[in-house]
Amino acid sequence: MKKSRIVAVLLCLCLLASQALGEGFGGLTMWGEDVTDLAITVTSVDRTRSLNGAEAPAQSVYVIVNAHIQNMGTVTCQLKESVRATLTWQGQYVYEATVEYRREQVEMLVETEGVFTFCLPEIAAMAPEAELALSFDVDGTPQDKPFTFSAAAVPGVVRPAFEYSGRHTDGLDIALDAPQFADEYNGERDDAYRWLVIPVRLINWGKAPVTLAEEQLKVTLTYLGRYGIAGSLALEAETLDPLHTASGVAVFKTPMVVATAEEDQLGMLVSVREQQWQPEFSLTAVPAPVTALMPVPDPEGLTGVKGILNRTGYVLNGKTYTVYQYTKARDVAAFVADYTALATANGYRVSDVKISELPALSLVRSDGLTALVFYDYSGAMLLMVEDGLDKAVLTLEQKEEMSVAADPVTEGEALPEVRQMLSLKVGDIFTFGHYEQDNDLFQSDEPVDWLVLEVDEENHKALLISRYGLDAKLYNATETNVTWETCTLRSWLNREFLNEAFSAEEQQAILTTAVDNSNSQG
Amino acid sequence: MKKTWIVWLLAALLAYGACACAEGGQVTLLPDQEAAGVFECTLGDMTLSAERNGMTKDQHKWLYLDMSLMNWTVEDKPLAQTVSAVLTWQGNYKFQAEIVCDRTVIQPLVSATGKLVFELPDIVCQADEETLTLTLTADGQQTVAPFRCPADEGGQIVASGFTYAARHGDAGDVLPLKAVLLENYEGETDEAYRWIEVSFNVFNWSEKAYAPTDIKMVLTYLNRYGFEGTVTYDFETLAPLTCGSGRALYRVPLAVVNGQTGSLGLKIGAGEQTWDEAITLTEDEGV
Repeated sequence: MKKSRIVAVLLCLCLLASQALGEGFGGLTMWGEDVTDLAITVTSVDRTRSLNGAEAPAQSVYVIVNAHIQNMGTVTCQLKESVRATLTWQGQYVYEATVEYRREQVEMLVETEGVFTFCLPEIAAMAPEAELALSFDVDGTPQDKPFTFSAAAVPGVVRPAFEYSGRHTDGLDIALDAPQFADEYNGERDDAYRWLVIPVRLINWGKAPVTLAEEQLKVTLTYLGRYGIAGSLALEAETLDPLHTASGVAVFKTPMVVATAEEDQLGMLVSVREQQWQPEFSLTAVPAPVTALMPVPDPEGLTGVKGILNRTGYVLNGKTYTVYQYTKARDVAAFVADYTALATANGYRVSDVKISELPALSLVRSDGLTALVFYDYSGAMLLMVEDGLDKAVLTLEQKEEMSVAADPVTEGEALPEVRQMLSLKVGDIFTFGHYEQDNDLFQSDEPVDWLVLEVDEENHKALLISRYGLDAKLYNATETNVTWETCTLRSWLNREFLNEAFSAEEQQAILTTAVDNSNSQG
Repeated sequence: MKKTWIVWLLAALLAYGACACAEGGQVTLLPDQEAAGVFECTLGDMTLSAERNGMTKDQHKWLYLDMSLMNWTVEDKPLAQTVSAVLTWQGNYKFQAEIVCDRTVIQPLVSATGKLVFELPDIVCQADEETLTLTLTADGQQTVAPFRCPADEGGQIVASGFTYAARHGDAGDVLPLKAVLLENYEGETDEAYRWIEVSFNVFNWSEKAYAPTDIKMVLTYLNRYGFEGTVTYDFETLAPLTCGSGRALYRVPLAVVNGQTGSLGLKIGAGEQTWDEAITLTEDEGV
């Protein structure tokens, strides 16, 4: 590869020389040995359930990688023959791309675009980026470094709750959910028994489909570490493709002595073929986090403007939504940031998405229900709430109160944000407040960078100066004899600038300082 | 219509086959365990009652023993083959318990309650621990213990006066009660004769129903003369270990009744056993 780069540099020099000599590009040649060198640059990565109107196979998501390709070598390259793209999850599961190029072949120094489309199971496609590696090889030579990427979440797709690192087998694996006892099951009732019903989920960690009946999958409720009660498994599928999941239920007809046993007398044993393990088992269902099933935050809490019902029964990607319309926020970026914070605090996984080219926030609750916020929808804002979800007005202040209540701060102690500030050292750059700096008045204000000049750890103080000049104002609006005490610059700083650059919370973190206003100070 | 039902049935079977991957409910011993527990049978309170399901039976009571069962094994235990109880009286008489329980099979780790029910003759209900034992068998494990029935709950136990130790033979036994001198009998009078009516009890020591056809009772005088009498019974057959009564009527010369005290007796024969009983005459008190 090093050689290729050197050649590329020479080529550039050559190109300059050729241009200087007035020769045409069509006649561009290179001397020396033939070298293949394609520079592939990923420009974007998207994930989607449907592609060109076609839905992805069950439990699968398309990962679409757009790349810029430039032939830095000395020979014409047939892209379909030369380039191979793979997406690898967990270093184990390798997926090949189907590829479309704008040009089938690229000559020396010619560039084109390629679209690499991978079809991955949901668990891989929606995995954290660090678990995925995108790599290209050209004529069998891998690129130096696998490319890791980030991509938006896919609305409506909830990643199966399995962790590769926590798997029990390299084939079929099973997870147990919250168990429940029933006095009757399928019309059967017996005073000597209760039925323990446990929802189960299965995943095939293998690389080939499995037929469940052949996996000798057994779940056994153990009692006193001595007895085993075989569970009856009813599953929704007969076969499972690699990394695909299925759900079902395990039912144990438990004698009363077992059903009324102390929890520490019970356990669970799972076996698949020769492998056997004891998953964590608790009769007491783990209480869901308080925020797990909270309602969708109503934008009204942030904008102060009530929404109106736009329509009900709106179907998008197979989900049915109720649509509410709001006035667009004045400061869209601030709204998005605050709303994201609110929704996250309510237990939603929030991500930026684009739907029909419109930017939106996707909110996915832990139970899979979703909401979408089109914060810039033709001058308005839309909130789409999937049926089954509620929305509730919750202001940012309430969210702050919730977080303070959850992490109480003793009186006199600095708030968490301030503590973070005081951990800085002299010379650090600290971002604090927002102010218009790029002259693009149609976009939101930019964060203000501050240079730390002095830190007084004992008194929890820091002296800052803005890294960049933020504005230009006269010392005083009129040419009179005036001191700092009454000058208009001071007035502007303490009013307009303070209120524009800092939120109410941020203003509380700014200390009041005694100033010498004597004439000697100017 | 029939065809429709068949199709539905097939569909139901297919649907079940599609989703069911394992049979369940079976209790097994975990692989690293060598042996399961045992089948436990524990007896609790007991009561003695003169009736069962509203019915009564002469000279019998029902003994009820509360029973708790717990199957710590990993096999189904059919109750009838797993639990049995026998009360043995005098080492000879055995009374098998009837087992009353809602479950006919006790599955692994299942507990159940029920009762052992014995139908006992009164004489056994009165027995003490020295003569009565309870043998309880639970899944092959046998326990033998002395036993005594609780106090009777209603119903009077007939005190027949027979004792096993003093019995005469292993079948019918006779115990004279009273000998009454009668001046006449059913209107017949004869100044040279008198009538002696002997009332007696009969007991069946055998283990089957007993009809007292082999009982002979001869009135003896001075241990030299014997008089055959007419014997009547107030029963046809006797259940094992139960008691009946009868009367024997003798027409005897006047000299016999005027004889010395102790000159009268009874020679009783039952089966191959023969024995003598002394009697004392009492005057007829009239009706």
